Amino acid sequence: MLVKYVSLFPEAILMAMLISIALVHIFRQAQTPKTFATISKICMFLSLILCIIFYNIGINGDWYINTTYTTFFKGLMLLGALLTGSLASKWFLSQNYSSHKYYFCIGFMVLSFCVSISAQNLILMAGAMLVSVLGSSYLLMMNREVTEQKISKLCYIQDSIIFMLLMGIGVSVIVWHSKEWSYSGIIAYYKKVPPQTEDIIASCLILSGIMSIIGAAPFHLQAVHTAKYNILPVVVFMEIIPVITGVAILVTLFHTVFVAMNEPLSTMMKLCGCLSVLMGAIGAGSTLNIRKIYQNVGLFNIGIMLILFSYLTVQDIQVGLIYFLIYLFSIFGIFSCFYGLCSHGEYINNLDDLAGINETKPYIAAALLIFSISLLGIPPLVGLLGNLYMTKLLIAHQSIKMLGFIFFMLVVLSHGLLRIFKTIYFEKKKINFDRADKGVYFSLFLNILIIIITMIDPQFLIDDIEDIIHSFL
Amino acid sequence: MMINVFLSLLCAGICSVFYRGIRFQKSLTCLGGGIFLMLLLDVYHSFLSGTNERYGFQWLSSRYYPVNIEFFANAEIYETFLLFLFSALLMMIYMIWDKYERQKFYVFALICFNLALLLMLICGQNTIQVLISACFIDIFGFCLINNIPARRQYIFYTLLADMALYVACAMLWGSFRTNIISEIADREIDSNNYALWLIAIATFIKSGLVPFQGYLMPTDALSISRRNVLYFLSTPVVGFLVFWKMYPILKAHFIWFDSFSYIASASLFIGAGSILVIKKLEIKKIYMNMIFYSFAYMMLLFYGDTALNFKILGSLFILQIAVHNGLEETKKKYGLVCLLSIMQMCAVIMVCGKVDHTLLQPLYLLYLSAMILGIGGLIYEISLSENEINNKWSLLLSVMIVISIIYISRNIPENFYTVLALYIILIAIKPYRLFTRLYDSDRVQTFQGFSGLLYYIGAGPFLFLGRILWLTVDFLIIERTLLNSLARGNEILSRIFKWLHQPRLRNVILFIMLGGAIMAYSIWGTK
Amino acid sequence: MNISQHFLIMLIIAPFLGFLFALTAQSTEKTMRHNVISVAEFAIITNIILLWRQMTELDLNQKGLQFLTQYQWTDGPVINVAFGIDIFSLMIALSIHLVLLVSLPFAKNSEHPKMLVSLSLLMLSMLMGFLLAADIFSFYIFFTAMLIPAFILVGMTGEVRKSRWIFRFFIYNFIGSVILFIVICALSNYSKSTETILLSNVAGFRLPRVREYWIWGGIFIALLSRVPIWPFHYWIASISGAVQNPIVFMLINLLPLTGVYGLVRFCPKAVPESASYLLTGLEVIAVISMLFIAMIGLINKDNRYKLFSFMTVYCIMFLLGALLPTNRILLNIGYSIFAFLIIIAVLEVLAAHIYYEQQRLDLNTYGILCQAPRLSFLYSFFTLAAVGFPLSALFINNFVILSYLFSYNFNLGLLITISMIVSSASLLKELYVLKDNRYIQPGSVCIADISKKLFWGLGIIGILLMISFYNPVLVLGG
Repeated sequence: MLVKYVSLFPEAILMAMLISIALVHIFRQAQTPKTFATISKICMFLSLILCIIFYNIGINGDWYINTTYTTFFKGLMLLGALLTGSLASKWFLSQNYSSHKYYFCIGFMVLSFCVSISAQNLILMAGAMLVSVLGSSYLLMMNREVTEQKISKLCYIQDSIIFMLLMGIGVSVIVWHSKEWSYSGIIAYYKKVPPQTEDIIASCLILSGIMSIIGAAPFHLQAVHTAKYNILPVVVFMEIIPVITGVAILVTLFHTVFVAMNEPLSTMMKLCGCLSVLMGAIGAGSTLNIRKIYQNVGLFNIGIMLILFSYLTVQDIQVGLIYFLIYLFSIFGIFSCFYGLCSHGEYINNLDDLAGINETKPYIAAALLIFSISLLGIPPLVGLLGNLYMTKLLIAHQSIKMLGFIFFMLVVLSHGLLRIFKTIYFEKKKINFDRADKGVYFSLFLNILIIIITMIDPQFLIDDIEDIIHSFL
Repeated sequence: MMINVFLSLLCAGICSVFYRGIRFQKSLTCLGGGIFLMLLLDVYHSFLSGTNERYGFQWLSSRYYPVNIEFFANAEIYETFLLFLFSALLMMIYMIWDKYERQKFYVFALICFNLALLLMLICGQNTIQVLISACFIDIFGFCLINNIPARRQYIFYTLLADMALYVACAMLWGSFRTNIISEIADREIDSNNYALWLIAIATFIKSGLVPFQGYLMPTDALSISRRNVLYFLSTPVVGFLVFWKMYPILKAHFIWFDSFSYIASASLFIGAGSILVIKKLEIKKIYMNMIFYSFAYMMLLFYGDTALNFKILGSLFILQIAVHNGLEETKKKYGLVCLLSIMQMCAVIMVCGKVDHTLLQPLYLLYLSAMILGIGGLIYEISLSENEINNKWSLLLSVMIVISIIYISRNIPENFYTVLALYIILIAIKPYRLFTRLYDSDRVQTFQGFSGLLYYIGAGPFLFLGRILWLTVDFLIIERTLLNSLARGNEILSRIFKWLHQPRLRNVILFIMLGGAIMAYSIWGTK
Repeated sequence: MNISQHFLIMLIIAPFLGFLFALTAQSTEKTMRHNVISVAEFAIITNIILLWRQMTELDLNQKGLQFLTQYQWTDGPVINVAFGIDIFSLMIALSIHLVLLVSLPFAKNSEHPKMLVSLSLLMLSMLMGFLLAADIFSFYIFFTAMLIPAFILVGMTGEVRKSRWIFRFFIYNFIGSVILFIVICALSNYSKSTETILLSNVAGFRLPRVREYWIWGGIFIALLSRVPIWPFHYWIASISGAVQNPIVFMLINLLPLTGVYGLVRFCPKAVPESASYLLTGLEVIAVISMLFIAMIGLINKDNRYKLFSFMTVYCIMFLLGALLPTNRILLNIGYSIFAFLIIIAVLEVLAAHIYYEQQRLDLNTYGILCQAPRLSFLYSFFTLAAVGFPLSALFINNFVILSYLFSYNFNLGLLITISMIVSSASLLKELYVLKDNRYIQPGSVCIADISKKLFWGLGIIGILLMISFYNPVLVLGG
């Protein structure tokens, strides 16, 4: 029995990290941004290792489990948080900004996300999500105090509260109807009793909450505001980590817990997916803020993922996860590039500032190009693989109109990204850039290596995803 | 063997073409003449031996379109080539005294190449060989012309002719899957087959018959040596040779065959008339050549391909060269040149004057009349000192031309001497004065009517249509309507997107309502 | 796998390695241009040697692709990629290498020589992959992958003034790629077997009629989006006419040929029956576009547009030849393209030299060649070769193609011939303008003639062309 509680060690380490950061912040005099970064790195790394070691041990089937599936997502999230934290330390050092709040918040959010991923009951999951929202709201307080940023912060909190509220209502309705809160209980209940309209509405509300975490349209407003008005470390974290959690929970709920309500939920996911694709494609071409452009690119890809997950077969989940991973590699690379683009201490935000960086920062420019091409799905990079699987799947499902719509929007999206290529390569240099940290180049190099290896031999990725799906189902 | 001659000519040409120096020009010209003399004797020897020869190799070995390059020679072909070799030798001799030609050895190289290709054309038994030779000769013609306006006209006309021939041969090959001329002639061909039209038109363009003579007019700026090669070893003669080679096909199937004789005869009359009204001697000579080629075509059209015709044409060909060179004011040693021309004419008379030409009478008289009319005008001018040739040698030469032409045809009609007497009286009472008045009219002297007409009929519609299409389809329709509409549509959508994503409460409510609508549709819309 | 199959992959990798080396070449102002061009020349010559080596192993009498090499990419679903080569793709590959070799010296004049040369090598690598692709997936990968270097080349070094044209150029080509992608995924789904789907087998697929219609419609649109036929001609013409750099001009104008090549590979013998009525519409549009572009080339005074219109006319002629219900002329199309590309490359290089000199000395175009004998000779030679005189493989091979076109449809052949005459006339008109010395005053400023080294280099290319007139395979020692 003790062994089961040992499986909580990763979470415990994270808790310890939070305590350590708080204590160091309160008591230690000589503290630098690097101090908290170091604590965070060590703890997250340990947590990651322990998570992998205890990959199949859980406390109680109705509360908290670890499987290959949850370990995969938690590992991904921890790794992502580790890398974003490492890169963020460069930012804090260069800006000479206190980082305790940042690392505390991300630790807090990672902890709550871990709980929500491994949770086996709705209340624990919803509770953890609510707590994470509180954490993210606090994270947004790291903004520089400018009027628009205050407004965006308020909007984020407002939006998050609304969606969490909706999610809470949904959870309450289902728990009240089924008298069960564990996933297995709910599954068993809906096998016996067909779901009523209220149950379906409740599940839709839960799904909307999850989609707001992922940042899918029409529940994506807070993600939009986050991208534009926040400091770079916050943007990077918020664009990547919650999405991993959201996807994990979405797949779990949709393909196991609410399997009896698949049809309406599938339709909802398809429609939200299409809306996300539409908004992402148009949005990428309508703004000059490079973070918003890529946030919209992310929205586009999330839309496609939702569409893929909305289909009901194992193969669809597999394809969706492959697409998600490929998207993740690329978007992480993009945001890593932003850490290398600092001019006179200010990290650039505007598209025009990218003018001519192929002369001053050729490797970062090349990396931006590679990752952007991958996001568009243009061969010979790994994005092609995602597009390939998606297309084959949609053709197999006879969803030709959907396919046509997605590719039409892809062309619209490409217009937005072409502006970036044009600015980088065709225009003359406008500003000088500061020297980028070696960590940034190292991160980019690793990322590109992963992309190239995945492209040359994608089988290892496909096999891993297959194993994960089988463990999950 | 002919292949040896072909290769020798090619080698001689390749060795000579790179020498562009000015020194030793006369010596090198003599050397060139010596080479031609040796080749002449070699071919003459082969001709006398009386054996036919055939040498060929497979150029394209494809199963679907094999092409052989053959050098087939019989007595007729030997004679034809001897004629050209002899002409080349004469040209080399004349070139010695051409003071305006500074690159004599280069011209010699071009003569070698032209002769080699003429040999290939004459020996050819298939359409591809004929086509390639004809097109290649035009390239050397282009190299020969060292005057830009002349080159421009030349290349445009020859391009049209070569394209017409090219397309005709392609059509024949496409239809019959063979390129052997005799085999095509034996097949069933629709008499309105465009290929036949194209062959005829191509040859007429090349030979410079009306209305295609425009490309030869600017060549008056070239030296006499280059003009010799151009008029007598290049494109105009190639046109006739191609017509002669394709004759079996045209004769067998082309219903408009006889009609083309009208074009040829029109050329003859226009040529004769032009000699009278044009002042410049070089242009007069071009029209004399046109009369000759018209006659040659009419001979073939009316009387077919016979040895008799060959002898007549060959004689007149040599005579034409003599006329062309003799009536040229070179100042230095002009007398010598004239004498040479006269000797050439005597030789022609002696060699060819014994042939019975009864059957050819009407046509030959036509040619005779045209030439005499023209030469008569020249005699008139010389006698009145109204032309730049103000020389007793020219007068003698002109008279010799008339005598030669008359003497070549030994069968003169009974009343011919009456007509001749009347003609001399006409010259004496100076009717040519009417024509010499036109010498001062710039409009007549620089008349480009035919070229202009061809330009407006040929190129005009394309230029006009091109402009209309660019304005309407490209610029107006696509740029202004389609592409601008797409761009504006994209702009509008972007504005809507920006408005929707402002941090306002109304937008939050809007999106929540949208989410609600999606949920409602998912739940109730799919039932 | 024998050594020849390894050579196939080397043909793709060598220019890619050259691209990487060129990117990392020393960047001082003095040495950059020299280093980068040397690296590129080395990479191209290496590839030519490899091509020659392939040529020696090739069996000229065997039809279809040889040295077929397959690689398994994924096994769930099973996707294999295959590469192969035949004389048709080999000749086109050789001509592309010669085109680049001829155009490379002009990289020195560019503002960004390093990027220009690197991206040219990258594009060469993609083109090689495209020409060697034997299955639908590898075909698509390289068909699309060449768009990115093309886009950057045009925008960065092409000296195109309006950026919207560059965007449209990419987007419309991308639309074609997307359509092709959907089609190949559909074919892959339809083929239940795990065998590699070779390009030549696509025409043999027995699909339901409606599906076949959509599939072939998609293939046609995708491949034809590269060819400047209506309505795709506008943006291709905008870019091609506007690009100033000769290397970029040639590389961009290779894109239409990729469309033609694709059709040759997808339909080696005949278009399937259901798509045959698509073909009729296509022929009409193609011929009208041909005439239209030829006529605009005639009235347009820009030499680059004239070259572009000339290339388009021939490209469409090759396209129509490729779509004939026979595969007998495929080799002729290959030989024609070989000569055609080299001729256009040299003309473009010479035109670029004239343009640069004209800009530098602020001269009028009329008679500009009169004081530059080497330049004048080469320009005249290659113009005559371009218009169809028997100076290259273009002559006899176009003859065969035209003869088949005439036998297939007389009116089609006639319109094609008229277009060829009009476009040839526009080139000759340009030659005349450049040589028209009526307005040249004695003692006036003249353009610099090309160097003797360049003259002899291009002269050797001219000799190779004349050898190709006799037998194109001899150029590679076949």
